[in-house]
Amino acid sequence: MDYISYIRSKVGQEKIFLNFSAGILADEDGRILLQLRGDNQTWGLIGGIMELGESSVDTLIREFREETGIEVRPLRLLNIYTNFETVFPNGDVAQTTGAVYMVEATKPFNIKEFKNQETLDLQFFTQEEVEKLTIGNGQHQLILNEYFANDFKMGN
Amino acid sequence: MDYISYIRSKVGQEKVILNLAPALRDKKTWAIPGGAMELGESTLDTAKREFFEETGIQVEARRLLNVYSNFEEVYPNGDKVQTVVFIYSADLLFWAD
Repeated sequence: MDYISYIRSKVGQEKIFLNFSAGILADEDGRILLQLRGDNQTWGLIGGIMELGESSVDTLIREFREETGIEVRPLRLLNIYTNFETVFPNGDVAQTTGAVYMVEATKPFNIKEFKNQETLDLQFFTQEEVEKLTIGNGQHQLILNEYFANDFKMGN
Repeated sequence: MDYISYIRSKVGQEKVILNLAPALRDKKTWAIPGGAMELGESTLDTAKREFFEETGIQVEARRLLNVYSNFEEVYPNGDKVQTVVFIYSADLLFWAD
């Protein structure tokens, strides 16, 4: 059983901590990869919730593979974001605490064909294009703002 | 109720993920001041609060050093956790005698 199913079987929909990892992959023009999410049909970062026994880097690599088919490795930790309340589409509440990494692909990849339940579409976007998108998750929006401003603050 | 008491009331001694800033140990050994995160805090809040509670020293975090996320611990009472540690370097602001 995955960690979310396990912990939700114990606490119901109550607010708990959930740890996540997310990654930013840029192409040679500095455009960054975003995912059109299956759960809320908005664009967001690629990443997901940590399982027991994983490091945050393990989570990052696994989620990138699951959501994009791309094999990545982390280049550096960009920042942590620890004090956001997220209400999931099913009503579960969590304080999502996570680490965001800059990543690079370790193998050639093709995102055109990739689709599954979690991922409706994948595209690289410029900063100007990202500013016009609806980012469904406020925590992802803050991460993107800090990334493009290259100004990573402590305490969010 | 603090987060540890709350989550333990639900899961018993089963392994859960627990966020620490910086690192908490209760085994009469030397350790870095810090402790477990509460709901509604950022890790920066946790680091400052725990540092003050454990040392009487008010600190301002200077920078994030790293994240240590895959350590399993068994507490003296038998509770099992995977600790996720967010560690900062800090400057002294005020020392209460």
